[in-house]
Amino acid sequence: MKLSELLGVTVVTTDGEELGRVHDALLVQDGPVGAQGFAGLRLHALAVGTRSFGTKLGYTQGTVKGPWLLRAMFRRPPTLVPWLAIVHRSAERIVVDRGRIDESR
Amino acid sequence: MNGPGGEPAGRQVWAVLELLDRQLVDRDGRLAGKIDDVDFVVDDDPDALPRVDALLSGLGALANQIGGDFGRWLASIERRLAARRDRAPSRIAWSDVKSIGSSVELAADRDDLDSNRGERWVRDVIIDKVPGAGHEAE
Repeated sequence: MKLSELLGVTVVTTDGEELGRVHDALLVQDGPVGAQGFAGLRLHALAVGTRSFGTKLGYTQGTVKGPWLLRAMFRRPPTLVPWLAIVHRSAERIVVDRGRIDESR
Repeated sequence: MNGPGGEPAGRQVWAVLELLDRQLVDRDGRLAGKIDDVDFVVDDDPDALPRVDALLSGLGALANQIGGDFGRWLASIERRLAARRDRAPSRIAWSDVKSIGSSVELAADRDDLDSNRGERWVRDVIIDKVPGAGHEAE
């Protein structure tokens, strides 16, 4: 599976609510340690939302802090969908379990 | 594996923001291409998280990222060229990655990487044919 196969895909809950599209993927360096002594990255969650501009600039992920006006405009947090909340995945649509998203908050 | 506040332990990396388009640098500090896509291994176990297996670089990977008609057209060109030359897509195994920062440092030599094949082709086919190539500038 490639990252590009996830980006832009529409995410809906099992009860039919559309959460938006995948804009980014949260990787965590907690996998097995490799040959270089560098822990592997595992995909923990997808950042899903209806607006992508703040994500592209890094405001919604919190990696960019200023200027404050842009931060205020674009820092609308995306929905973080845990990978394990996914119940079905295709090229057009990802279906997620709403209960598991709420549990992770 | 959760840390205080329920957040996953370990360093967090946003794939699009912190990996895509990052410069790859080989073990000697030489530029070795850019990251255009990320390849994951997905286990059959439904409770397992996907692991990053390789970083992808080059026209084929970039075409997947662009998407749409233009992306599909680029991908088809890359597939035809790759098939004609019997070459696999450009991929850098995760085990070759040393660190992630403003650039991604690799433990490998760039001459051994697929991601550098375009530059190698230019050097071997064009630059080396120029009269005077292979000699240091005076």
